[in-house]
Amino acid sequence: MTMLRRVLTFAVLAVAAHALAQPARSWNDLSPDERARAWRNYHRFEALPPGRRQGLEDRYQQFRQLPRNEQERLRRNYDTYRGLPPAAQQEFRRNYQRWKERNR
Amino acid sequence: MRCQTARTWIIANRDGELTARQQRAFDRHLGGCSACRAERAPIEMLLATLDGLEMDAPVSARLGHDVLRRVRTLGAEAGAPGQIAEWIGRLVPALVATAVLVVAVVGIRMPAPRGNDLPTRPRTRVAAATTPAGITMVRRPKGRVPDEPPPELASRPDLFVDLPFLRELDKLRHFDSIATMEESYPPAPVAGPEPSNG
Repeated sequence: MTMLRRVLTFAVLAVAAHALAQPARSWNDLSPDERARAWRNYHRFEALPPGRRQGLEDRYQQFRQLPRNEQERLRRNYDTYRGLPPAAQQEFRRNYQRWKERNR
Repeated sequence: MRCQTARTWIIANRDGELTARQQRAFDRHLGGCSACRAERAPIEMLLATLDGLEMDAPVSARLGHDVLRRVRTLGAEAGAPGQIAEWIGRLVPALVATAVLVVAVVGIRMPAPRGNDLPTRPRTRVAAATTPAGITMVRRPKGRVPDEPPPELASRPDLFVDLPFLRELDKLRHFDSIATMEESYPPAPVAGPEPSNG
């Protein structure tokens, strides 16, 4: 019984760890499309001022530490955001500025 | 803080470059200065729009061919083969640069492609424009994707794949709150605009 309990605990922990942590991909894991995107964005990143680069690094780490369901929620939100018509995107950005002021 | 200082800090604030002390001073100033807030809004919008632009300008295959055809025509009109080569050398960069500029300007007015920066549909880039002899006339500024990426890119490619997404992370975390904000916030001032304190 104790053995069964241990096995179950291990299984639950393994599933939870898998759900919580998304392993980082390597360059070889990327599709050609993703490599092209990463390559272009890499040059964009290099052109940014140090403070902004650091900010993006921080966000990357924050994002990686989020549970997978939260990561998926953010990606869905991003798809929704990108799918908005330009005027609605602009309105959303305006709302975001107001929201930031309110929550400052 | 003077308005002039606050306005020079608007971009630094957006880029996260202010120290904690500067950030507090900046926030305090903006909290009481509607003129600076009004100044910031279009800058934020402009920067957000610029963030959405791609570094490379996609050009249709037809435009590339038209440019090349036009160059050949101009070359033929110029006369001798030596002159043709000289004209091509002079005109091609100018024409392609103009084409890129036109595409970039049009791109600003068009909605950004859905997805994460790079649309999946095949595109012809300026880089693909070649002479009849097969010589590449215009290359992408950063070259082709290397087989062996720089160490920084190789060590965490997801950071760069997701760069546009990460830029919007704060918005995305509070997406629902922002999307459902009421139009009436903040309440409009009853009297005229607050005087600038700078």
